[in-house]
Amino acid sequence: MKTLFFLLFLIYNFFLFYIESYYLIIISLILSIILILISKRKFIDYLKFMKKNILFMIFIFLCNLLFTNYLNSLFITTRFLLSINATYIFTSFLTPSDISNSICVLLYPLKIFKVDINKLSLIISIAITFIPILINEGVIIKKSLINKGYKFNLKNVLTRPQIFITTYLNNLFNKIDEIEKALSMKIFD
Amino acid sequence: MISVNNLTFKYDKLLFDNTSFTIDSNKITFIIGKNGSGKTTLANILSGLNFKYDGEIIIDNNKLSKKMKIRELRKLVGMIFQNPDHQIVMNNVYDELNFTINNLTGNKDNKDKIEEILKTVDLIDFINSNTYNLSGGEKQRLNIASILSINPKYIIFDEATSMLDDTNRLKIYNLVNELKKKDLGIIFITNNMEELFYADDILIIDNKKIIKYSKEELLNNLDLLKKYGFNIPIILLTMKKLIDKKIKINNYNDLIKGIDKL
Repeated sequence: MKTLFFLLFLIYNFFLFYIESYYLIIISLILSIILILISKRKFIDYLKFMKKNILFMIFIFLCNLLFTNYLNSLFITTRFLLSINATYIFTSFLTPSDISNSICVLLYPLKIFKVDINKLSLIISIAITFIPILINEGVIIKKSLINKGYKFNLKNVLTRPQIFITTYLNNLFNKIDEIEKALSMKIFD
Repeated sequence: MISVNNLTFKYDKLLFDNTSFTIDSNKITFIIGKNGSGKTTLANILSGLNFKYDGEIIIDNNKLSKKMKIRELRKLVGMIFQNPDHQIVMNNVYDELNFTINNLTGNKDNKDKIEEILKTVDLIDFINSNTYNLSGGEKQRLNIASILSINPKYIIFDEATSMLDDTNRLKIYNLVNELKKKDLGIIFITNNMEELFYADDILIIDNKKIIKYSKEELLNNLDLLKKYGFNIPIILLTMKKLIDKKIKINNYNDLIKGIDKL
């Protein structure tokens, strides 16, 4: 069932970018909002989630505005909004281990080519688990640099990348080392 | 018993120089040493994560070697890391334990065993929780549960309480005391000298050598700690005074009650 849900999510995201009808887009938008309302999460959490994506949406809208009219730009931006909504709903119903199991089932045909599906699924599961930890690591480095008087803006990150990126990569490699040790403790060879 | 014979380890600088010692099972052994003395390196060596050393390590008649199967190795010794976040690889408490047990036994569903272990570490109410939402102490107890699911003969705690608050630290000590009764060898690596209160034996890393003392030996001659460059912890001083007054100290509560009699 969960695999089917995951598959539907993938198909939906794929076909979303082939929808040309304004009506269909509006219906999808209304449906997605209804699904968010009936999902386990609070609507205020959805608004907070969207607040983080608003800059991205504006960026998409402005980029499209360079090549097409405002109506088309709005149309394309709405497609992205629908995709983000779908991801939000999807993560409300499926846990990372469900996702990795679903991927494992969907990749099953690769067994013909002797690909170790279980290992692949485990790698995906571990990667998903470590995303919040890596984000947290970035926030800690950012705070520590700000404490040392480093102005954290795009210009500084781009002109002096070694300060943030090197520290982050160092921590990342340490983390990889720790994951290796942790897996050894859990009898994963 | 863990027997370490003629251990020599060099990494940038010489950390251990032809040193030998033993660690007993069903005892709590503390390893102390200054920063950079090689405490974590020693933990990695004892837990079979690092084989770049000379000498031999024998754990209950099994010589540690690279050729050893990971399953055999982990049945002998497991380790709890300093940062609990670094040891959790799954997103859910149940999955985290199921992953370890599945690797050990090959069984896909281990609900009964998982529930039993979670009861031991007092985390049964969190069985379906997201690991990211657990507190530091809960995460560390989950890591202990994960190691316990393998049922190793020795568990190494590599500064595993250093990131915890007092309440959670006490929970870990109580849990460790219970584990000791189950014939498990506990090895604690620490920088916090107050923790020596819970020790049976103490290994001191000093000048590339590892020297073993029993707690009684250390209590009878607290100046030994000074000799190795450590401050004498108040808790051990108090304990010594109480023992001198023939007051028995078996646990932390005895110590608190005993202080009134001083």
